[in-house]
Amino acid sequence: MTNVFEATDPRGRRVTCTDETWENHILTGHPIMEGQEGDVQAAIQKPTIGIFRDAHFEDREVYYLLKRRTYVKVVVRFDGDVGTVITAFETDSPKRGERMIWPVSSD
Amino acid sequence: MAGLERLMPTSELKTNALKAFRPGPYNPLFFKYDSVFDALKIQIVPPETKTIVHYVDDYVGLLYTPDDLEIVGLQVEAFEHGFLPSHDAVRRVWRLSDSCEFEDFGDMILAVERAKPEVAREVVKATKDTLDGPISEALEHAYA
Repeated sequence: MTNVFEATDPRGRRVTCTDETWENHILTGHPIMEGQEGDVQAAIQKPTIGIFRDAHFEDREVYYLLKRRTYVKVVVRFDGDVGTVITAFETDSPKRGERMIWPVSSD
Repeated sequence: MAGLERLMPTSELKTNALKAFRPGPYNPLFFKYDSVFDALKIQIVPPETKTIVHYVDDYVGLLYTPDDLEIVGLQVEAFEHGFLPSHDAVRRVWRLSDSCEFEDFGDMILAVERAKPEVAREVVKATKDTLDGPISEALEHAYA
């Protein structure tokens, strides 16, 4: 298994995306993602607004990248400081229940 | 969730494809369960169709085609982790194929195929409260 890419998020956490995930979970589930490896990587490196905790899984974090009419959404599972992409797709809306965890508000 | 805006109002999405769909042996519903992401997709178009997810709550997203904004399916996230435990009827039909004793692999495939339409119907029933009336009715029609 090889990596399609490695990326570092704004907190300095390393995230990888394997070719198995890219082929079997992202492209087969969401064909619209064909050719969007760069956008998925960019979502992790420079997410729009911030980084969010998944609505249901404490070990999953979510990155969005604003495109013209949609967001690329990337779901990453973390084990310590190391993350693995588990899926990515296009959405036009945030999901209820996700909460921003970075940047942390100073209020 | 602060910050991210909805880019497409639900009212802009169309239900013509769902209303025109007639399920049958040559016109199947397409199912895909991703066990890693824990999400079930049920759609009326082949899996290779490009779709966008439009969330309606913390579990369910409508799938629509970007060119014509036609709704063509549903994506249910945290399906086994959260959705099934809170929807008994869906859990019952989803587990149906697991609970049977199969003579062979062919029997198992048949049981799974038989369960699919029932799973689709129960998922639509379970999401009825969160969907707009016309969308819910169109999904019920398509998954009947």
